Amino acid sequence: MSGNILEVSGLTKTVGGGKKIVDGLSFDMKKGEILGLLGPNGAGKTTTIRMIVGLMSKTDGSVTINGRDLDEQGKACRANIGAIVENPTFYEYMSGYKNLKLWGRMAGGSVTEERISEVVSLVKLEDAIKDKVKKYSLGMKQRLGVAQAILHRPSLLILDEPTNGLDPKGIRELRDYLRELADEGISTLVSSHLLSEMQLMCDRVVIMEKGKVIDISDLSSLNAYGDKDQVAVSISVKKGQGEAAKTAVSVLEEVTVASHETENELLLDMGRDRIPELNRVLVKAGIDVFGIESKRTSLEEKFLQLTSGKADKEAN
Amino acid sequence: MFALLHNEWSKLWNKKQPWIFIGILIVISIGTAFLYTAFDTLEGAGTEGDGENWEVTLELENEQYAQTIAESDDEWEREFAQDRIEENEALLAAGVDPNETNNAVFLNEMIYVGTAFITLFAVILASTIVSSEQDKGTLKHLFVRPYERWQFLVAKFITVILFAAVMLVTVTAVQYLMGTIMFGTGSFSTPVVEYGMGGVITTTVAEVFPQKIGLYFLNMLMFVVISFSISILFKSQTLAVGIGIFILFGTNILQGFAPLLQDYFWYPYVFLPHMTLQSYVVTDEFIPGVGLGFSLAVLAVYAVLFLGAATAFFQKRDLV
Repeated sequence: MSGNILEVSGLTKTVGGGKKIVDGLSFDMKKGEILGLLGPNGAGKTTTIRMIVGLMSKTDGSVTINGRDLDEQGKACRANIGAIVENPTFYEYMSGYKNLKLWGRMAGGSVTEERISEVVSLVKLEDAIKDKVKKYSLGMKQRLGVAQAILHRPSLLILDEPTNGLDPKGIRELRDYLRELADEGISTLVSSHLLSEMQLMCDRVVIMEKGKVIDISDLSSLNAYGDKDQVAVSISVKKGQGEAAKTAVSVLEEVTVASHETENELLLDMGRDRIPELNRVLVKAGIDVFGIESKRTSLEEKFLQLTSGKADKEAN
Repeated sequence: MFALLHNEWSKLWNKKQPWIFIGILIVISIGTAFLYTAFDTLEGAGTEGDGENWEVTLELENEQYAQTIAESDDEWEREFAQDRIEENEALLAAGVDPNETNNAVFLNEMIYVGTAFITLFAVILASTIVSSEQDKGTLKHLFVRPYERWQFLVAKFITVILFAAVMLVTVTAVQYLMGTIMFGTGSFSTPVVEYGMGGVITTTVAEVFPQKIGLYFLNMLMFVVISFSISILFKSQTLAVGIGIFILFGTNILQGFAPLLQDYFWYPYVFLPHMTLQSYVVTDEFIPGVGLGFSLAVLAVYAVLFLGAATAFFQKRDLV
């Protein structure tokens, strides 16, 4: 057995007319990892997730959860999964507590009263848990959704578009929960079309387009500043000195001017370790510098490169 | 498996729906008792020789009917009079006072008023118990649990049956109670007559009431099977409730056509004409050669087909 919580190999879904909405998808997920499925609407993210949790049948390929094959041991696989598929849904005519009791009962006796109160306090719903779910705000429902998903201590959490309809505070809270859970060793597979969210939330992202994997990126390298990393650096200088700055910078080797659109701004591609050197050159050239900002090579830029710009419009 | 049943049962009773159903049934059962008294006194006013003289009264009635037969030119009137004479003779022969009422007689005569509504409510519940979860989106959160999909169907089906049983017990209990309050206690061995297509049958409450309830329950079960299956196959609660109620009334309409259709060899193999099992209380064969055993066999085959198709579909379908 490998250390992977989830292995997806050659996953394919063909719908009526032979159209492949998921086409030969393969990726692995390590234990304790937060993996994002990223792609524009219609890329096949939701279909992929539904096949993994067993809501949809797959046409081809295999899914292995915790070393068990989904086809052969579906029930055992699902026992290890906690899921929110799209918006979490509840029996709204019942209280949050009663809902959790229902879901807990389905976990085969492993969910005790203590576990329920533990989870309720984790998602900070103690005050509202006796109220009927129909009175809950969307953010509270989302939190209750997280509660029902983690109630039975699954080793794999699967969230489909979990940030849909959440306000920024709710998104931030969700992100924090996921990070806490990851620290406890619970792996999370999350799908979204929101780039910035995925960037903050995930360790790695699988970028999908038209049912295929087009890239798998390790976000820790994108997020952290390695000294040798190529970064985009934007310099703002006194108005009218843009040209002069460009000339001054041209003496530096391995620094390229990415764009020079306004007369007081300059965008460069360069190694992060060269920034102090850049600063010295500019000062020596007598240029008034208002700011030097290093912008990370963001997921968005990568995503745009990969999906050739077109997808971004759809995604937003 | 028991956990699922437990869950379904608790989901059911946390809704308003079952309480409303039970409430309506209680109101109907009480109302039935009052209506029954109203008609009873109305009839009693016509036949004043109540009590000890009921036999005399019936004989007097028969003499009047005999006169009608002798004098009337209207064939229908003569036939009606002849039927009444036969009924009265049967009552006399059995020693059954038609005006005598007690709680057992009341229950036996009026149980089908309440059960008509039980069938309706059971059909509504059967049609909505799966499809409402689909509409609300909770079905997907059931499917990701460590159970097979058919297990959810079994739990939901049993829940509907249990709820129907609760409704039946409620109606029986309330009617018996109302009967006791308004007509006094009587023995379940009170002789009664039942009027059927095959004529008048003399029996006792103890003998005929369990038959009525048993056959009714089987019949209702079939309505539940059909609406439950259709709601799954068509994924729509509106359609399922509609079709369930259509079949409910359709069987009555179809029976009107029975004389026209019953000569066709396929007629006994269609499920619809069999869905008035209660008529077997007073009839042995609803068309020549077709008895209770045959009807139950036909219905059982259809029930297996309906449930089998629904389960197979439910097992395989993609939930979008």
